[in-house]
Amino acid sequence: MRCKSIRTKLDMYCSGDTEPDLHTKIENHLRTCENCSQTLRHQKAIEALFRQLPAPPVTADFAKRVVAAARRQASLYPQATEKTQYLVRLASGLSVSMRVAAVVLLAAGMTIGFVMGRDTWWRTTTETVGNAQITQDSSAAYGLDCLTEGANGSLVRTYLTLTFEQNGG
Amino acid sequence: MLTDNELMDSVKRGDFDAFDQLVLRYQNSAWNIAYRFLGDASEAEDVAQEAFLRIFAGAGRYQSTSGFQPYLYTVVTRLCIDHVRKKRPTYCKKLPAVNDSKPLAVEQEAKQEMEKAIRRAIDLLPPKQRMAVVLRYFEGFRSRQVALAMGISPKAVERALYRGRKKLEPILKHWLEK
Repeated sequence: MRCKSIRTKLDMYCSGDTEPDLHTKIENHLRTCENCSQTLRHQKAIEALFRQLPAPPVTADFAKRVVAAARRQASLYPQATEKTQYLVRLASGLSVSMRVAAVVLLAAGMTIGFVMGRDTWWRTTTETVGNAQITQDSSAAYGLDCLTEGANGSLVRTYLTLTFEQNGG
Repeated sequence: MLTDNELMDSVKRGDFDAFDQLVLRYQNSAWNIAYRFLGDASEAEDVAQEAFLRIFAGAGRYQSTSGFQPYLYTVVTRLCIDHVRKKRPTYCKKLPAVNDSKPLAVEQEAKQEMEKAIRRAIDLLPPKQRMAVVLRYFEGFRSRQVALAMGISPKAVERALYRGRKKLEPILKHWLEK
């Protein structure tokens, strides 16, 4: 096995989390490789160094304060889901100005969305009506509707009447 | 004495005394991980408290298959990593006061220097490597327990620890060779 592969597995080797075959391979490698043996020594030294540092104790009334906070949370929002309670805690941690800013931004966003949505609806509706009119009136589809608006006895009317009769209409 | 799962069953039904017993049982574990990771007592207390409150609020969804302790560690670990990722540097207008108390004994001073060096070294690690190092070397977790707490694969733990150690060794060389 290559040295880099061995070194990445040294933590699992030390904590006894390797399979027996792998454990044997690592042991055999460490017997012959001074670099990897030194890495293992450094790893154990890091562990020993860190263990020398005790953490300060948790404050004496920590549990009391946690339970009090849980009671407050449950009494304010008894039916709230975990997500809602989290959002409430988050919001209550914000200053008044931040809350006002958040509301203003939300209102602005909704207004812009409404205006843009209305314009899109209007445009879409107009096009749909226009398209419907064109499809109902085939002469309008070909731009010939101006011809059908000619006065009775006009040249246009006469022409259309003649062509209509000729085609057996 | 009730088991963790029995206490959580009571917490699901809104039993605050059961919740109090759970907190008392595991407050040191939660606090130690948060403090080692964050290095600040008040931030560690906030995160540890938030972890218990999340567990309380989500008690209805708790499943007893893997046990309460791994579940608590998972919640604390994720909150710590999120906390560091969201945190912005704070700028002080006032400089901290100079410590002019009487000088310490040489041995005590050396120990303080070592603690500061370890703290500085750990703070340089990215969040995942930092958490893997804290759980493995401070708390003595086995690699598989680290993987479970962090919600990553054992291979990812191996890589995180390997890279973390590579960064720590040159900084702590002086104390490792003693």
